[in-house]
Amino acid sequence: MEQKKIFYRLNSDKFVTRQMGSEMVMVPLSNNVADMTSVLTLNEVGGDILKAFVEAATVDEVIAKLLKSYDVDEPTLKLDVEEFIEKAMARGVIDKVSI
Amino acid sequence: MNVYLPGIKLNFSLRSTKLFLEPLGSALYDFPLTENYVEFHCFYYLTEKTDLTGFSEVLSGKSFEGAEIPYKWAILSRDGYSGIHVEFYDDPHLLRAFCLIDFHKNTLEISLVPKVTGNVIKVDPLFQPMGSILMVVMAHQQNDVIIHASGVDDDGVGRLFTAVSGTGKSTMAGIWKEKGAKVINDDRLWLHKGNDKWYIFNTPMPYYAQTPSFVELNEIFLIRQSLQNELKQLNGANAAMRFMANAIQHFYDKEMTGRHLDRILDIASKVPIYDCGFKPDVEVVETIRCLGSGQ
Repeated sequence: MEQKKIFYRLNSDKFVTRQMGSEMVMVPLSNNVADMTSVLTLNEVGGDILKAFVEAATVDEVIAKLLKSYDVDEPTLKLDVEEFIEKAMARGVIDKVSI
Repeated sequence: MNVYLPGIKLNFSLRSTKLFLEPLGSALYDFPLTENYVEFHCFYYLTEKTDLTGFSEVLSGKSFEGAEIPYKWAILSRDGYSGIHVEFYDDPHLLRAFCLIDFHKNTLEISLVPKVTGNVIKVDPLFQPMGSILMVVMAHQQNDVIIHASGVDDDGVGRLFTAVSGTGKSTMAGIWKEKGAKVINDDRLWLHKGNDKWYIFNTPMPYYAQTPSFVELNEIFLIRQSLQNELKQLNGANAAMRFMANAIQHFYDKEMTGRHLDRILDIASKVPIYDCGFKPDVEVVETIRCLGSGQ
């Protein structure tokens, strides 16, 4: 039986995101009110991983996309992306979605 | 009667014979502070009941613990209109006040409910807390920022010192005054953009008249008390976010937050931000002045 793919997507309704130089700033919204006490900043790599989840995507799709722009071996990148997903899920930045 | 704010002219008129406007904090703001400004017509009247029909509350707050005249406030919204409602718990003259804001026609309608119907009411046109909340709403509308900070004009160099309450904003302003700088304000500043530069302005204060003044914003300091004076320039998003932490942020939707974030990042990209540990004496003035001379 084919294993069901897991998709993740940026929770764009709950965050305001902006780029500043190579960094990304994310301000969470709680009931539409900005929660300035929990602002997140992402470095360039974090920002690029996040941008890859603007549309729903699987980990493998994101890795394939990022391998085109980063000179890194696939296992290392996979670990980075999985770690990112774990932390981003914990903060509500990305959600698992059904396609 | 007119009161000027950064980029704004408020023209006041009365619609009740028993209501009088007596400027206190806003008394000296009677000339344009900026080359260009948008004019708002503000109508004041007395009523028995504030009409909030159709409005829904989007944000609310209350006076700090121990306030002399406790109150609660709410920002309301209805089909493109905004409103500010204030309920006083122990004001000798007023029960409630409501300001209906129409940003399409640039009008403000301010209705006041007196404690005793028929009594003569005298208020500052920017009475507390309506004036403060209104300034935050209007500043946002024109993409400005209001921040908890002190600011000084040091021979044409504008410096802003921001921190949470009790960390030394007023102390810092006092030190600069001692060394010959002009204090713009020691508690709250209005940051207004003109000709692609940011300026710091003071604003009418609730309980005392101050002279309007402003200066271009050249340096920002995130201050903290320390055993020694130490300065470190901060860069990137972290600097911008630490600066933003002390801005007044009565925002209640994604678009507003996005616009606020844009202007904070704009300021951070134009004005250097420093982490500034300081001991409360005049030495810090020379330490900071040396930044500009590259020493």
